[in-house]
Amino acid sequence: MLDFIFNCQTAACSFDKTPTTGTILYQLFIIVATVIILFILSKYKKNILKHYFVILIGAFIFEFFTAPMWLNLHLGNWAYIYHGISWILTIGLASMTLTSVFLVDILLPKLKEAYKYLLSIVILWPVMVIVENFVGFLGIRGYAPETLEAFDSTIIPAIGMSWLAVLYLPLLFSLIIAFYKYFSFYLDNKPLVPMNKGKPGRNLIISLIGVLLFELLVGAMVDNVGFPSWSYIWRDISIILSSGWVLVILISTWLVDKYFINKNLVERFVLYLASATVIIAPIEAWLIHSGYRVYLPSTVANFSGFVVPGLNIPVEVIFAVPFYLALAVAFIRYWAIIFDNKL
Amino acid sequence: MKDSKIINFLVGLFTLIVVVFFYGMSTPSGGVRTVYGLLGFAAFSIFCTAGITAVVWLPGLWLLGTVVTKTLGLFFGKKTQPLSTGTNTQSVGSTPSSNSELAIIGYIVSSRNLGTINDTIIRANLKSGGWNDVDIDSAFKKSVPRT
Repeated sequence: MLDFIFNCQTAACSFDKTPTTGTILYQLFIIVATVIILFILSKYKKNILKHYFVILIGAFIFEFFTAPMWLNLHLGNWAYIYHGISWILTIGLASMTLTSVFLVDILLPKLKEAYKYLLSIVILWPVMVIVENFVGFLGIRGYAPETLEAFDSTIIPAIGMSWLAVLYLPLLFSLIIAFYKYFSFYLDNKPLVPMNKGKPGRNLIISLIGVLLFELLVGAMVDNVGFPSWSYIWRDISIILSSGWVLVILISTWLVDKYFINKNLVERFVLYLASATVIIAPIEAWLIHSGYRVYLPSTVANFSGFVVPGLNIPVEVIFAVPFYLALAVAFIRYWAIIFDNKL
Repeated sequence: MKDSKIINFLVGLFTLIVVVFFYGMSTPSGGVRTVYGLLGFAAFSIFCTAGITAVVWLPGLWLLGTVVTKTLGLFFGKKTQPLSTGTNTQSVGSTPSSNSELAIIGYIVSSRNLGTINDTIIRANLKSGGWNDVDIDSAFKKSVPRT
């Protein structure tokens, strides 16, 4: 949409947007289904639009900052909000996630929070496999070369997707759902015990899982190179670098929780991101300049070419850091909260 | 000028810069240059008209900021932990002495408002959160008792 209005002229906008009958019908289906879902769920939950809005933000962050990995083709000019990012596919992703989360909440209200979370992902997983197949069939979904390489593994005949691509889907939902659930505590005004003494060991493990999920999610966008060979635990994911991110997040969240413990969840979340970004930005700059972080061609193609004065790194990297962190930090804080409060 | 007006103005300026930046990223000239261009144009237009165009820029940015903050307020407004410390006639204590105490009082008040857990459970939860009896007792004294 923005590209259409502003007459985008870069390579990132030059792909086939010509709609087909199938893609138009699919878009209509998403919009109608979303309206019906919201109408039905509004009977069970107050302020359903607020909850939907939060999931929409989580889905959009994922779509926006992994955009170089995917191609969304043949949707028509109206469907694109920026470059290849489609607002219609984003609301479709958000609607599916919302339905799954509320289905579990409504049908199994007594279930422990952790099980609700996992069950929502289990429900979404096969649905998303079908949807991915379907958008592939309609000619909507395409992949960047790095993504194809990252997902290059044995194809599962029954579903026509590589097993790595199939495993990617729950990773995606694990972060989006955690992002939503963190803010749902706030929207529901849930009383949460302020923690005087955290559990450092447990928080370390949760943070490591959150960071690794995040690294797996964006693995096709950036290469981590030059670290000792023993440190690579999966492809280019180095435990040294991941531990560094974990340390930064732990320090940021500890500082904010210590000095701003009286602030609400949203205010603290903004402070987590701000403090972590302040620490991470110069580290990321150093890693890029030292050749440890190499952004891959499809990602670089989306850069405008301008750099941050002083740090000398692409402006998009600085913009992206807090948004990337948003998903990982929300995941980490969500799990810490449900353990602290025995939810 | 009231603080809220200044905040709305700054939010409007920030929103405009973000929009122009993303617009600029889709053009060959790039995002940052477009932002510089906008700011330069605004400054130039105000300077060249001896400040007259500021009549358009300043209220315009304030209006944009107001719209953004009101919209965000619809989703995230009025959610600060409900505290009742000292100002309520039912309060029996003084004002909180620290952020920690504010947080504990906030938890006590919001748990009581929920009405599903009693003070014993609230106290136990706070203890499991690492607070000692002195902190908890002090916070309870400064919270509004259940009526």
